[in-house]
Amino acid sequence: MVIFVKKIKIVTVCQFGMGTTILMMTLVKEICAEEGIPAEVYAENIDTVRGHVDADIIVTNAALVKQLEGLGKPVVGLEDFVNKEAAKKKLWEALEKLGYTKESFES
Amino acid sequence: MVRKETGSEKTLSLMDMLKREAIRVGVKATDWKDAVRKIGELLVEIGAAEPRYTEAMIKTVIEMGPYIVIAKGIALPHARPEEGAKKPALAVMKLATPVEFGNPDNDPVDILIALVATDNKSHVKALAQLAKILMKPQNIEKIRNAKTPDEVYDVFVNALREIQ
Repeated sequence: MVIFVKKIKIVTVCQFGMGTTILMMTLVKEICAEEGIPAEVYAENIDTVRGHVDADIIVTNAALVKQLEGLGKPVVGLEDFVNKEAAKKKLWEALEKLGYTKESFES
Repeated sequence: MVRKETGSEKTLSLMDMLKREAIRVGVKATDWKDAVRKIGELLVEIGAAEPRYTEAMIKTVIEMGPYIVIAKGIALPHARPEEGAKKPALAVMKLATPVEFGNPDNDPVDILIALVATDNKSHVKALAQLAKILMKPQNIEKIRNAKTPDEVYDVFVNALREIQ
């Protein structure tokens, strides 16, 4: 059994950091709650995270994926910010890149 | 500038930001710019924004791409607070005929939800509530099927009750 004390940090990013990023943050928080993923989810704008990002996973819109890929963190690009199933699948792909599986979060 | 929901700022609920008079249905728009212009005029009419906010919303789409199309058929036009925002508000407009924004995944758009924020925080709760409502496909269907502004308003009121 693996015990995780550290929360996974997930940042949602959009151009202004005030509109669509809030939708993405809400979506990711809900997915993490449902899937039992211990996560800290917060919202930012592109200018804040461009140079340095203090998160394990970046979630953003399709237009910003390219700009954020160089930061060395898995980037989840969403086309639809209220489609939970599509986002859940992509979020798990990013978690798997970090070495997590569903079993990682089972208590 | 990390926006965790911790500040002591006044936080608004969805229904604080979305008023009955800020909803229109059956609006005719020739293209996406016309649609954004019309919802911008509505924001001016309800006292939420200055006319220059409308042009800023259009400019945002042109410069940053159609990422404001947030889901299938739904756009969230908005601009920065300093571009003519007067008070935090949402407006909803259903189009008589859908328009193309140039979003490869979510076009065409028949529902516009315009956002006016005056800072980075006060609208966060309302927008999160909006997101939770739109995460349920049946709510989007109800908004699409609503025939009058009052029906649209009631969909939001009832949907909000369900998520709380």
